[in-house]
Amino acid sequence: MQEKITFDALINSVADKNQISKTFSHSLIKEMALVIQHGLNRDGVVNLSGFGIFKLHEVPSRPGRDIRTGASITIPAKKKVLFKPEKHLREMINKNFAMLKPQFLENDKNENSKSVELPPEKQENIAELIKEIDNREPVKETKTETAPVFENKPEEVTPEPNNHVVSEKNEQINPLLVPDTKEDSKNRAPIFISIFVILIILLLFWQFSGDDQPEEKIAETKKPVIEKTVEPLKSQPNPKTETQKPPPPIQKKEEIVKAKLHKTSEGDNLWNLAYNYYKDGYLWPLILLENKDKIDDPDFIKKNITLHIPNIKSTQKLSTEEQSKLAQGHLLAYFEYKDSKPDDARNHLFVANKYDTDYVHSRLSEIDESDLQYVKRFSMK
Amino acid sequence: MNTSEVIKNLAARLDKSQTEIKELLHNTLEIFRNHLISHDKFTIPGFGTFDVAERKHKIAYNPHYKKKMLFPKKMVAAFRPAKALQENVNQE
Repeated sequence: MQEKITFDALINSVADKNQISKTFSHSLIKEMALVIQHGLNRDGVVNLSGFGIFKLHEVPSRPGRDIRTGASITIPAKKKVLFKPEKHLREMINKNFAMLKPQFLENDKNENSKSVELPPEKQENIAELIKEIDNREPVKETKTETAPVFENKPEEVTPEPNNHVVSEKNEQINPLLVPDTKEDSKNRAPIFISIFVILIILLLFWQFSGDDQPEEKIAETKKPVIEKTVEPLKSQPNPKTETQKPPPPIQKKEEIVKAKLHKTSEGDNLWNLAYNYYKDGYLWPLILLENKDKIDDPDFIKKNITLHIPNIKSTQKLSTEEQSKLAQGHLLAYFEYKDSKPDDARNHLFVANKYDTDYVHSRLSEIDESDLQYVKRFSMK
Repeated sequence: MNTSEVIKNLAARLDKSQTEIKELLHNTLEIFRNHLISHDKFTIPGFGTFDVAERKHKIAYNPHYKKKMLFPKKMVAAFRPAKALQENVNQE
């Protein structure tokens, strides 16, 4: 990787690139250096667009020691030449480590850790999240906007309305039955348990309240109650299989829970979400695109809103459809950042252009001319 | 001094038109850029050395959140001015 380029090789490559003689390219570079030196002497700063900025930094005189004699001396003031590459160039130089981001240290224990992996607590959290997602049944993408409201409700609330629906329909429909599917039995298990518990409680209540009544009566009351409970058990599938028009509320709720949703909490950001779900933070524009009506500022997500995390098949190789979605997300980020962070916005435009050139060209009228030129310049290579 | 002034000065010194020099400068800087991006080291005699160095990870205190932060390692460009340039800049 790290290679020393001789001045001769440098001149040759400049000569080849510009199709000029070696002697001229030699004098070109020499004169360039002289002009920069002249500019530093005159203004103290030379700004070369597309490369970086050369600056003079004044170091004041400071006390020091003569290394040989140990006598204290004052080191005279001097000017230092500094070079700072442009932001884009800096990012390109650091591209190998670009995925590493600064992180808060939870404990002082982590101080010694050399790697920049997530702290163990975070990893556990992620593992739990993944488990949760896996436990849910396969995701159905038919998600409605009202999802967040449903998701928050605890399951215990749901059985009651369903119970009514079932019992009402039960009376109307004759009990010609279709065998239970597995899903149905799963869905209803909590309902029956709750019915049973309620009945048992009622029975117990009766027993204790009716101390004076003879035992035979209690026995009599028990029998019909049990029969009643058995009846709905068998006739349950009817309403769902025969009348599909009014689907019971539980089914709807199940679907919504299955879709990948994320409720934002403090400290969440799009990068980390993408990293958690896709193992690749660079895919965050996908989440932005999916939730563009909920996110006002990509740098600030509000607390306690529910974001929809779109599904992708493989993070390693994106399909063309996903690529164009990513491009749309980047373009969206470009529009968001255009005023606040022009440099970032340009980079997003550049990436969007890379993923889906046609889409970017279809919205050419909304993009600034200067940004387009920037993108063209860097995409030449 | 900005790019256009550099171009103007260069054009005067090399006796070329400004548009030509603009193109030449752009291409030359692109070569420099590509060398830096591929982490190569190169020297312009009498001016300085361009290099890329690794900065180790460090732990620093973020006063806003009042927490310690771990900053990962990164690659940065380094420029070491040549002795001639350093002396030229410091002469009065």
